[in-house]
This record gives sequence, structure tokens and C-alpha cells, in this order.
Amino acid sequence: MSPGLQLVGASYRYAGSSRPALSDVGLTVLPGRVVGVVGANESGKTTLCLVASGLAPVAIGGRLDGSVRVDGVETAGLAPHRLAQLCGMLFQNSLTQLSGATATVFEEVAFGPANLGLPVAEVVDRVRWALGLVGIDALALRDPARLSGGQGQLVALASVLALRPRYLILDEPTSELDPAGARSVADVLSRVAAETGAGILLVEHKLEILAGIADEVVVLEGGKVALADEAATVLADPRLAGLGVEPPAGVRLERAVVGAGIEWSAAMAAAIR
Amino acid sequence: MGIQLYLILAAVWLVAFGLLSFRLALRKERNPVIWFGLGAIFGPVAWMVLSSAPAATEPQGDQRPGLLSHWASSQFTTRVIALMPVAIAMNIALGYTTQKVLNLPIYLDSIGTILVGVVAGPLPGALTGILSNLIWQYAPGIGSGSAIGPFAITAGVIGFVSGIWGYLGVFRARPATGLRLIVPVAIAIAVIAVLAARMYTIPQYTDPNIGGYPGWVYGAIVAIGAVAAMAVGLFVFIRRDAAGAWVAVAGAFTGSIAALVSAPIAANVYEGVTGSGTDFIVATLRQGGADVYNSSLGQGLLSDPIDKTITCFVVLLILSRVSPRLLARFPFGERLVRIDDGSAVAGDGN
Amino acid sequence: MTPATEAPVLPDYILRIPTGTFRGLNPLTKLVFAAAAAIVAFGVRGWTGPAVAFVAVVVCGALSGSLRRMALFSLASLPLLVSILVVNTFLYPGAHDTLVVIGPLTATWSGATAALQGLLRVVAFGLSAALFALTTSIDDLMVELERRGLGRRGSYVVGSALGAVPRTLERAREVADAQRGRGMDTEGGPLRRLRGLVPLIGPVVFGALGEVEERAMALEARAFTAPGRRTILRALPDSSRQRMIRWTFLVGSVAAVAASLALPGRLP
Repeated sequence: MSPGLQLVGASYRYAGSSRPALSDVGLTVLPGRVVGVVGANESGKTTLCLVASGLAPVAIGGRLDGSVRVDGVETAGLAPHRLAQLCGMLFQNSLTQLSGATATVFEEVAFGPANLGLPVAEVVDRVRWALGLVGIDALALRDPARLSGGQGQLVALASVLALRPRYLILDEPTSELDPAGARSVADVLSRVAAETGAGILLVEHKLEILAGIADEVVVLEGGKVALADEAATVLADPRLAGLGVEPPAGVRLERAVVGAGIEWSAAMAAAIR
Repeated sequence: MGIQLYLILAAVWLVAFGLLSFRLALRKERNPVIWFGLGAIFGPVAWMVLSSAPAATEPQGDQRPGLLSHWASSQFTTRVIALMPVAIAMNIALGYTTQKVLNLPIYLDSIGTILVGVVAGPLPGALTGILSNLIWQYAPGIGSGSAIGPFAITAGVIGFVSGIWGYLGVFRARPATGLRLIVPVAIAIAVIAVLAARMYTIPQYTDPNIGGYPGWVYGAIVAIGAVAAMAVGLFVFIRRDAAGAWVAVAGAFTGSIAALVSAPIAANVYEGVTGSGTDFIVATLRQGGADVYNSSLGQGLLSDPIDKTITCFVVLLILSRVSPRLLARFPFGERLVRIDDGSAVAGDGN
Repeated sequence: MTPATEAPVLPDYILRIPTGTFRGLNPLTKLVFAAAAAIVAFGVRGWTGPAVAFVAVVVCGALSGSLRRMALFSLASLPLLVSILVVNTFLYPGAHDTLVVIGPLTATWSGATAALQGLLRVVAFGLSAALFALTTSIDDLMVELERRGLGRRGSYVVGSALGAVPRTLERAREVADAQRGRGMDTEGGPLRRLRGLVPLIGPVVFGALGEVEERAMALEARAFTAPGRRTILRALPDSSRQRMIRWTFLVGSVAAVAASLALPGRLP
């Protein structure tokens, strides 16, 4: 029983599609580690999230070849509610993710645990923990339908955390947040990985975020893995631009500074953290 | 075992209700208790079905769901549950916008109901219709006072009937060319003509002394029929899709059934009128000598088949544009599209 | 984690227990009351049924302080009421007891009677529906029904639909406004209005349908299909007295209808 969320030779084709969205993808997310995923648009990042969380093919059909394992167990045969407790998935669009059937954020975050039929005391504990972890206790009594996009995304994150999944898969969680909000989400994710030991698979466009918290980074191109290595190595790799990914601002600045003949110092690197 | 007995009884009631409604409507039964009793079946049946159906995945322990309970539950998959609120909102939003903002005499408040019925089945379709009406009645700001709620029964019937069309694959695209298009159109016109002739020439309707219709009604019917035949024919030939003919028949049937179910409701609950522009038709029919029930029925038979046929065509167009991948995972998805591993095909051809 | 031996006290903004003589009743009791009023108003023909229902509803409306809003609610059905009055007074079939003649139209006593009874019936029903809508939040009703076995899917469909309606209406309004800005007529001939309808349907429908797959996935991802009963956080107060009231009202209203049918002509 080797721990980790493991994809081995995973190829996936959407129902009714002639070309595969993922080809022979292999990656491992170990508990407590953060793996970032980057790539140009249409490179298969969202598909990767769906396959890793088990939603594809269980919820949307299509064909999956290769294997997806959570702590040694194949996800292929598991029921969706079991999968939800193993791999929590956060979607890109916060509006469709919230149930829309609850009156307060508290009850929205309680939606998942309540579905599992847990006792009231435990549901309340989990909700309070999740709200505290994400830092949105103040939103607990608000109406989920009246939140801004960014706030909705944070509530969705808390809802997924309330299920206490062993692995967390996030598809561009900061897309609707401002830079400060994005940074606070990054802090939350590091805390989650550290405190709960959950492994995190994070798809992001904002590479600065990944530079801060990712241990490894995987680059996708055309549904295949183009690069995979330690975060710092990949983010400084000169091939990134060719793969449709713009390097983080820090890397670009460093290249420009060095290219102008100025020495790049540690103080400069720290200043643009 | 008790649950299954309930469901069997409920199914029998529903079928009997349909047949009985038709007979009673033709005999102009006016006793409100009978209609109330029959109409009240839908609510408890829907409740029983939803609450007794097991979770859509695995059955608990050795309690294996029976055939009927499985049939009911298989129509309420997660995808259907996600679709229903969206369809309900579609009904209300489009219905409200059409009537209030654009002031058109067609309703378009059944698009969601028919759509759900066709892709998911009779029970989800019926529930979508019923809930749409009840929610619209209470919706703050656009609730229409008291004029909508009781017609939830009609909406439920429309949804149920649409489920039957879905089961029969009526809305599946049938690309064809040339002569192979003419045959379905001819059959469709023949079926509608027979249906119309049967309904409009019943003695009660032709003899004004016992509450028949004035002469202009028949002229109107012939005119409407001719225009409809031309429109359907144009649709079928321009889009080269024989499904248009079957959808027209389905729409005409649905509209007629809706009129037959609505008439007693309007007659007994609202003294024959509904507060909308169609009341002019009711007034004119009464002027011609029709009684309360017949004037409501006549108004219904003039406007409902047209409205429902238009709605069915809109649904057909929508289904042709929705991605096959989305449709395929619905309970009746297989009857609408065919997904191979290689490529998606809608219907029988390419 | 040590299991709690008693249920934790939830904050007020979750419990949301309504207060008031009428409003504080269990949602099921209020529902049964509205249903009984409707049954009596429609089932007992003549004047008595609608009158009794009307009075009962108005009294409860006064108790709950929602009379004015109920009246406004009924205002929405004004066209219907006018139509009932006019069409039936002047065009009641088979009536010959003339009241007054206005041009080609003849008003009759039987027609006027039927019209007024119908009016009273519809008003009583409308007010009972309004009373229920104004004193009971649908969320409360759903919680109560779920406690009695409705199941999470029914609860979700109604709750989600209630949220989706304003959203979809807003989208429809935006599209209609955009069309108007582009020159589409919302007045003008029927053909032009019909043509203006077509581009309205597309965005509303496809925008709504596009969400369905992702919503279904999100539900699965939140364990919506887990077996067994869902945990319900809220509990609304109920009592055996209310249960008795509910049964009395239900049985009583049906009995009243049956009695009025079995013994016709006993009541006005």
C-alpha cells in the first residue's frame, strides 16, 4: 500500500471525442507535498484534475486507460461518495460549485459532511475547523448567493476541506481573487498540507503562487507531460515560454537583470518574493 | 414489499387517471370532488416515489430494490437532479419574459418541462412541471397571485406525456432527403387531421342547442391546420430532418391532452376564465352558446396544441444544438444520440 | 475526537426559529391550514365555503401581521378577478333572469351570483396561498419535510430552483435589454415581437444548460449520492397539540366538502 495519489500511464478520452485529452500521463502526489500543474490553455489541465479526482470517467463517461491509485487503491471501482472523501476537488467556477440550496455559508460548508450522515456534533466541528482554516469565520452567517466571486471560491474551498479528503485537487482556485486574496489562499494551502498531511495537486496560472508553495511542478502540453521536476528547477527552465507558459515575474526579472550585466543578489530575490 | 405495492398502485392510478380524465372530459363531468381527488394523486405519488427511491448508487444491504422502485429511481440520477432546478428556472424566466415583457399570447412556460421529460423520463418531467407552477405562484415579485397553482396538474401531465415521447425517441434527429421526407410529413398531417376531425365533430360541439361552437370556430381550425401543415412541411424540408413531422404530432397530442386536463380546472376553479388574453376567445364562445365547460375546452383546444407544438419544436432545436456528450448521460440520452468511442453521432446518420 | 454526548447548541443564524403566534407554528401546520382553506373554498359550493375560508384566512393574516402584504399579493390577480366578474355576469350560459341590458350584452342574476361566488372563491384561495407564502420560508418547509422522510434530492431540487429563478430572470432581462438596445421591438406588431423572442431563448437556455454537467459533478464531489439519511442541522418546533390541529383541519375540511355534496342545498 504505497501512499500517494498516483497516475500511471493515464490516458483519457472524453465521450464522443476522437482525440485523447490526456496521453500517458504519470505523476505522484505524496502526502504533505504540493504538486503544481501548469500549461497553456487546452493543454489538459482541467482534464487532469477530473481524472485524478476520479470524476472522470465515473461522473462524465469517457474512456480512461492506465491507472489512477489513491494510497494503493484503484479509483476506478469506487463510488463517487467514497472518492469525495479521498480526493476533494475544487472547480474553477465557484458559482456552479456552491449548491445554491443553502441559506448561510455555515450550512453550505456543512453540505458535504451532512451528506455523509455524520452526527451533528461532528458536522459542526468540521465546519468550524474548515472555516477557521480558510479564514472566513466572518462569512459564516452570510448568504452564499450574495458573495463575490472570490468569497465564493473561498467558501467552496472550505466546503471541500470539510470532507477532510486525503488529497486535494484544485483547478485554478485563485482565478477570481485579487493578488492579496491569492496569497492568502496559498498560505491556506501550505497550512493544510502541513497540518492535515494532505497531498495537494494545484493547477495554477499565477506562477508566483507556485513559486511560493509548490514542491514539484509538472508542465503539460497537448495532454502529455512535457516537464516534471522540483519546482525551482522547472520554473527557471528556459523551455517554459516555448510550452506556452510565461515564467513567474521573479524569474523574468532575474533574467533581465542578469542580461543587463547586473549581478543578481539574494536580497533582490527576497525583495520580489 | 409495502413500498412496491404502493408504487404498483400508484402506476395503476396514473394510467387510470389519464384514461378517466379523457372520458370525463368528453362527457363534461363537472363534479369538483372527482377532479380534486384525481388531481391530488400527483403530489403524494411524487412524494412517495422520491422518498422511497433508494440512493442512485448501491442498494443497502440485502434490500434489493424492486422493479418499479428501480424504474422510479433510475430516472432521478444526479445529472437529472442537477437539471431540474435549471429547467424550472427556465420555465419561469421564459414564461414570465414572454408574457409580461413581450406581451405575446404564447406561453413558452413548458420548455423546461418538456425538455426534462424527453431526456430524463416521465416522473422527472411531471415533477418539473408541477414544481415550476407551484414555485411560480409563490415567487416573490413575479408570483401571479392565484392564477397558476391549480394548473400544476396540467403541467404535471405535460411532463409525464413528454416522458413517453422521450421513451419513444420521438425527438431523435432523423436526417433524410427527398422522398423519404414526404412520407413522415404526409403521415403526420393525416394523424393530426384525424385527431382534429374526431374532436371537433363530436355532437356536443356541433349542435349549438346543447352547447356547441359557432360556425367561425371550424373555419379557424381549418385555417390553423393549413398554416401549421405548411410550417411543419417547411421545417422538415429546410432542415432535412424527418423528426419535425413526429414532433408536430407529439406537440398536437400534448396540447390536446393539456387542454382536456385544463378545462375542468378552469371551469370549476376559476369559473371558466384565466385572466389572460385568451379570455376573449372564451367570451366569444359563450356568446355563441357554449356553456362554461365547453367554452374553456374550446379555448384550450384552439390555443394549447399550437403553443405546445411550438414549444416542442423549440425543444427539438435545442436538443440538436446541445452537445451529445451532455445528453448521452441522461436516462433517455441513448434514445436521442448515439456516442461511439470514435465520434459522436446524433441520431442514425452522420 | 471525543464524541459529544449531547447535541451542540447551534448559533441563532442557523437555527432561525420563527416567532409569533401564527408564524411560530410548524411549517406543516401552516401548510395544512392553507390546504384546508383551499379545500373548503373550492369544495363547498355556494357562499358558505368561500366565506368561511376567507374569514379564517383573514383572521390568521391579522394574527401574523401580514394583512397588508396579503392584499398586495392578491392585487396581482386583479385581471383574473375582473375577467371572472365580467365574463360570467354577462355571458353566463343558460341564464335568463335579466339584471340589466348594456348594448348587445345581457347581465343576468345567475351570472352575477356565479361570478361573485367564483370571485370569493378565488380571493379566498389566493389569500390563503399568500398567507402561507408570507409566513413560511420555503427553507423551513423543506427542512420539516426532510425530517419526515422527503430525501435530500427533493430538498435540493426545490432549494436550488428557488435560487436559480432570480438568476435566470436576471439573465433573461439582460438579454432582452441588449436586444432592445439593438433595435428589437418589444412593442410593435406580433410578427416583429415573435422575431425578437428567438434570440432571447438561445442565451438563456444554453447558458442554463451549460452549467448542468458541472453542477452534477460538483454534487458528486460533495458526496451527494452517499447512502442513508442526510444529517439535518435545524429542528423546527412541533407539538402534539399542533399534530392534533393538523389532523382536525385536514379531516374536517374533507368532511365538510363531503357533507356539502351529500346534503345539497342545506347551506347558502
